[in-house]
Amino acid sequence: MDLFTENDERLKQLHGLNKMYAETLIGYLRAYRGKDALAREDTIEDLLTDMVAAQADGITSKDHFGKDPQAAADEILSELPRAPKAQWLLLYWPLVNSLWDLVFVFGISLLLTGETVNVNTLLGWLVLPVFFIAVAPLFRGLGFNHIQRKTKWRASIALVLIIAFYAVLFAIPDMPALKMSVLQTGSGVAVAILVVCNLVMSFSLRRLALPWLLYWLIVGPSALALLGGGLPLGLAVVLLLVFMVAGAALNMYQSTHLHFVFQAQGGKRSQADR
Amino acid sequence: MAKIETQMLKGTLDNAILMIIAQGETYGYALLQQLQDAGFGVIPEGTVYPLLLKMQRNGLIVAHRHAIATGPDRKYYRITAAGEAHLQAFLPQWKQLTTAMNRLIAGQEG
Repeated sequence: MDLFTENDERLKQLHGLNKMYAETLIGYLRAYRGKDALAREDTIEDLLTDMVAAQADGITSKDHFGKDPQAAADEILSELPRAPKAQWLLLYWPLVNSLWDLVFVFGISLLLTGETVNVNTLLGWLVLPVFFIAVAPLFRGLGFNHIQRKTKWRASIALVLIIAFYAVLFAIPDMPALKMSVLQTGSGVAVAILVVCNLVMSFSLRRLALPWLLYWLIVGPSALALLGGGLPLGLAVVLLLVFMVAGAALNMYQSTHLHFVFQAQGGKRSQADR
Repeated sequence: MAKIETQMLKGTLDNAILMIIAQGETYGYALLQQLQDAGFGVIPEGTVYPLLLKMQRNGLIVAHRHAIATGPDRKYYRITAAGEAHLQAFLPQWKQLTTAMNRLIAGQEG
């Protein structure tokens, strides 16, 4: 069990309002992605251990930690070291792969059924999730009972950005449908780029990149071959569905098991190292 | 015991914490109790913990985890040579400040 999971277990030792208080605080600390995850979880371990001890002594988490948890959390965050570059890859690389996986597999299934895909649709598929992932951190802090002014400002900016984004999306004129050959070549190039990136990354971040390298080596050529092959449509769609589910499962596994850079590198961190 | 204003505490609390740690290594939860016993009143961990992180970053204290038989592992804080030097510099200044304040208070009361 890694420190992230251990902290989730510690949280379960708190009850009622204490648990709600701690959940909000920890959610806020974890939502700030610019800090070193190991240092952050080490801090969360300290805070939860003390909250559990305070609860045993009959002290509420609010009385123990303070009436303005957001201000305290901001001060704590300001003292934590910055996230190493590899941690950003850990956060976003599975998303990049699974996002392209969804677009790629869904696009091929549309082509198989004779549907057309234009640039607008493709842009919507690719940009929409990236945009929402980028905007999500702006909603941090809304869970606290007392919402600070800066939190309200951040959330308001996020809402304006979302409205502006949709306005731009609707303002783009309809483009003609893409030709099958263009889509095939484009998809092939994108998969090749992902294969090369995952191959290079697999030397340092083995557990992060190697599964995706294998995934794309199998799924890329197989899915493209379905376009020219003589497989019955039903079987081809089932195969594509299997590819899509496998990609989503891999993304989910990595999101729940790779919390720290050393885990992505394939190493283990013992209690003595901490 | 009256609550000491946060603004008044800000400049001195880190030194108070450092002095407690200088008396022997301690952990976060115990430190809150030690501050209360010393007369600082109830100080929330949300105030103390960022100061502990700051002191670690500045090299005044170091932290290490102990496995203990009676409860969960705790992170214990110990003063460093830089921390000792910091206290040596702080104490004369503080004594000068309290002497001046006491003189003013005596004048006010007398």
